Amino acid sequence: MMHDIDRNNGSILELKDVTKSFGGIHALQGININIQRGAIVGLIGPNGAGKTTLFNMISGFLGMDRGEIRFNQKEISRLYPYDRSKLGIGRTFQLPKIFNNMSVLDNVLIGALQKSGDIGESKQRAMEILKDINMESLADSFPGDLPIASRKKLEICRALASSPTLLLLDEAISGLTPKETLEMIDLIEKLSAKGITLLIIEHVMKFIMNISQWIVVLNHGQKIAEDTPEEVARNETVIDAYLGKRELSC
Amino acid sequence: MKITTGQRLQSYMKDPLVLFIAVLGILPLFSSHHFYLQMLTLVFLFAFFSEAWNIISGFGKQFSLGHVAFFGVGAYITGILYSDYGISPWIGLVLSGAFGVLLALLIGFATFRLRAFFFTLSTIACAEALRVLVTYWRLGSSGLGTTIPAVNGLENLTFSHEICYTYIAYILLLVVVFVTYRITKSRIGYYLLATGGDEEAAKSLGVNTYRIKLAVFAISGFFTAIGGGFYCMYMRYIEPSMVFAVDFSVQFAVFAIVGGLGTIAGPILGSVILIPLSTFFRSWIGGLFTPIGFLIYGIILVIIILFLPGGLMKGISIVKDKIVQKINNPQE
Repeated sequence: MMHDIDRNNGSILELKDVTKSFGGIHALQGININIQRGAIVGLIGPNGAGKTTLFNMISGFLGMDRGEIRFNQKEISRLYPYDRSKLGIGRTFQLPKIFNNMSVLDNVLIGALQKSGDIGESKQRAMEILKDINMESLADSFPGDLPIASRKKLEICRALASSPTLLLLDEAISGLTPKETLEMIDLIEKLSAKGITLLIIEHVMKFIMNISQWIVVLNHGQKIAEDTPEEVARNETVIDAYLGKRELSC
Repeated sequence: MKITTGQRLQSYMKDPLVLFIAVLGILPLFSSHHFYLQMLTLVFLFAFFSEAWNIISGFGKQFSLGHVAFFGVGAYITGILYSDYGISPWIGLVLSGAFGVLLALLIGFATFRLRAFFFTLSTIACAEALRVLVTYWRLGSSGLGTTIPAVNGLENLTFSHEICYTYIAYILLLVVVFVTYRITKSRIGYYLLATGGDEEAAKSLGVNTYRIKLAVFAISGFFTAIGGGFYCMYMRYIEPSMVFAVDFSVQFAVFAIVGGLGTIAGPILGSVILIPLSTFFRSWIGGLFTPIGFLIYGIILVIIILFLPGGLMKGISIVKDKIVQKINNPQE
């Protein structure tokens, strides 16, 4: 399932000294990360480690106190979320943020409209994406009626429609059944095969250790380790801070 | 495949909304009594206002209770230009629309970074500030209240027959319905729905939600200000406490909510039902029993909102689905 990371592809995302505080709480302190183009990178850490804060800063929903974020060598630290999306950064949310007032097809259409202003053309593209993810039968349904797995997949379809080159997935499999988890793994591998770089936050260790080529570990707003899943699993600092010895089987 | 104009017209003709509006359009021809024509004028006019409000607050879920600011500004611009400077009300309406856009951009620029109730409260504050400003500024040559001179003629937007006002209000309604329809079928419309659905998600998909809200608020303000200008010429009297009364904003919202928020037919349906109902309670149960009439009207509103939170359009859609289901599966 896991493939080696290709170090010759160059980095798609660079975080330099990224720092953020909320009042007296240091949410992130001097984070430096390089994400290789085309890689599947897992971002792990206990609750409150700063993972979602980091996602919000990469996607532009939160500003930084200090540091720099470069995407495809371009400085994006001061760009708005919609501008970052246009550059190719897509994301999902911890709790799926679906447009419940629109059909499944129209949800995906919003992403597709970014590439073409033509409604008909964009609807066609949205439908193709739904077919690709085996969701075409739900095109006319309203998302409020869908189970959590379909809502999570819909969020990915929607992000996919905006043609991202980097996709941030926030807890893509939490709350899913084993069968649904396997489907999600298939989907993530499919996205990776399309050349999309994936940065994934996940608490389910077995899943994230198996699917990722590279793991970044945060704890109390600091990066405490960054390595291959095997090395991270052996890292004493990570074990002490987060994983626990019995959970370390990959 | 390109859709021809003929095909498009055919599809419009099958639309129940088009039929509904067409039926409303012929009603004035059968209402010779001044009282009924007046009621129809108000139905069309308030359906127009509610529809304009619904663009930003229904589809975009930016709940404004300060729309009376546009209404009042439109009324004052058209009224004062005509009564004090003799400028044609038609020019006044155009200027009202332009000022409505400017005011919407100004209010939107200041308030659209606020979320939910804070935005709503700030729109009320803006409208109240304008009311106070106009009250103390004493706009118009005749002090606080201004009576609009009545010189009959199309150029003066003044008519001796009520039906002329009724049909102008109807045309205004047609225009705002058409524009709303076009918006909902456009990229801006989809982005507006997304913004109303979840603003953060919309931003993450490349939607500049701030710009979308500002643009649609300007369209909404444009129409409301024009309507305010027409209302002033219809009522022939304006004063700040009348045309800047928050009651108007509430009425625009109530008609849309009762009819169906975020639907094109909702505001029309709300006005068609609620204006005759309130007129009935005011005029027929009026006099000593006026408070009872208001009480019953209020109870009816509460019942509709309580049992049909999606409005009457939602109720119609539920009934329609049940009928279709019954026809398809007669055994069930």
